[in-house]
Amino acid sequence: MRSISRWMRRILAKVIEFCMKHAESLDPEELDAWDDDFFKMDNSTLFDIIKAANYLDIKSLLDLTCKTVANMIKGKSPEEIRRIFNIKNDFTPEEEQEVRMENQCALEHE
Amino acid sequence: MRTNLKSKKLCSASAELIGGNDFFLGLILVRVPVRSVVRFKSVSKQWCALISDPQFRRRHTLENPSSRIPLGLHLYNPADSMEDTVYSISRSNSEGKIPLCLDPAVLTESIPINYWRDLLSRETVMRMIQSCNGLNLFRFNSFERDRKAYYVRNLVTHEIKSVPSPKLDSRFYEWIVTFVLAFDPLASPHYKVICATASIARVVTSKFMIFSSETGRWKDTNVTMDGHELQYGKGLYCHGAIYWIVRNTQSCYRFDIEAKNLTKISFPPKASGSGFRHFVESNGHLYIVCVVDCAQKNLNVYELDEVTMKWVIKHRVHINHLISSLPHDFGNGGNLQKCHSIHSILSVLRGEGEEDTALLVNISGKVVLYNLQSKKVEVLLSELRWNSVKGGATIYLGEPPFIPAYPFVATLHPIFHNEHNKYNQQSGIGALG
Repeated sequence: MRSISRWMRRILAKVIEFCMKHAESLDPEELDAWDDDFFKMDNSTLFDIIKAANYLDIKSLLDLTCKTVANMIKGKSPEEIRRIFNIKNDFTPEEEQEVRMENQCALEHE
Repeated sequence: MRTNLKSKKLCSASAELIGGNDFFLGLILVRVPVRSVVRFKSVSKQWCALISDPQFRRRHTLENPSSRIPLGLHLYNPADSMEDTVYSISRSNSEGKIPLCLDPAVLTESIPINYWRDLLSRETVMRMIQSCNGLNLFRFNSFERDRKAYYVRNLVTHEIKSVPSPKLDSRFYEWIVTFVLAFDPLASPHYKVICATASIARVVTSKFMIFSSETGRWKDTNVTMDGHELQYGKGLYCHGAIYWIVRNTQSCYRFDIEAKNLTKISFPPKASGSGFRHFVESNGHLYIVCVVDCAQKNLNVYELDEVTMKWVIKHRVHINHLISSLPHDFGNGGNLQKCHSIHSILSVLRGEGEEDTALLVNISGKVVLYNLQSKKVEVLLSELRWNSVKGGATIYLGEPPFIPAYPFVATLHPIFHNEHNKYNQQSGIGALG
């Protein structure tokens, strides 16, 4: 039998923790507060949970984790986003300038 | 030791995987507010492609309740209909300033050189005439009667699409009486335009037509009405129907788009006469604001109850209370005695819930947001300078026509149309006709 890595065990434990809490409690306020606490985790764990929740088809967990990530990335600059997701900037400086100009008038940021 | 390094690598692999995967990215970005999503186009070509995809943009609109909440207002000088400068007023809790839509979008059609056009240079500018759940209707006025052209625009994505004018029967001097955009992303990805035209056969009669962006065509309805009073009315879309308020005759009409019938709704009695101030739609609710006393110290805010189809009084505003809630350094050298009345009601803005309903007013050139429930005041714009042809800063007083103020809702929703495949749309300058 293949042993589950420590990392995978940790993620699954989190998923189970979430499912059990949401199964036993029905009070939305209590759940909200508990969720706020539950999602205080590092980015990599968040992303792992997204993958796990998707694979295990746990919609509520997937929704909430995605919302947490969305709240975490909103307001960040494109460069910060690239750092978080390890994305290579494949725009040439001219192309990037063009994209930025196109969207300039649309909701300039402070 | 090895396991630790391995798990570190695997962890960031998750971030990479998700950041490069349209499915997961879609799930996340659909929950990110409009302003940030637009900025994320610069992250990478893949992100740009995903964010520009019409299907993603539609999903984003549907899943983001903030895509229905007004972030601010676009306003023209109500005292000067010749002036085309647009003023934008943002709520301070919105993400950044709302766009100024002043760029007269360059039209690709060639406009014949015209003596009148040079004289009235405003001919080249489009004027906003309605905002509807994130899309805006603009009119390009031409001195030549048959060249009034209408455009639907999304000010966030810069998309623009012309609405073909219905064919008018020149034998009976048929003319367009009213043109109203009907767009509700929750109901349909497509928009409709309701138009009434009037002609003089024996008597003046208005008839109604509907344009659907799905078919790209105008269709007649059997709905007619006597006269052409809607020409002096203001039309707004709300939940499947168009409502018109005609000030002079104190009438309120409702055109049900699906059922294709026209009905009359009784006007709130206190709102008649010179007390009428504004007719507004915000986040699926219709409001009428009126002044109820000669001294202009009391305002009533009515909301339309769509079940009973009656205007119901929702809020009473005492102007003195509003004035006294203003910050001490408000203006006039601290002399609040001079601000004894509101100069114009600019709008009613409704957020997520009832407690988020606010009146936007112009007090001595300053724009103030007054929450109708909490009665808290917020100064949004400290100087509204109207450059009036009459010279000097005009403070607008007295009986208003409909104030040209349009709530701004930020949405990424594409302007779908029938000309191409449903999920393929032109961005930027659209073809005319």
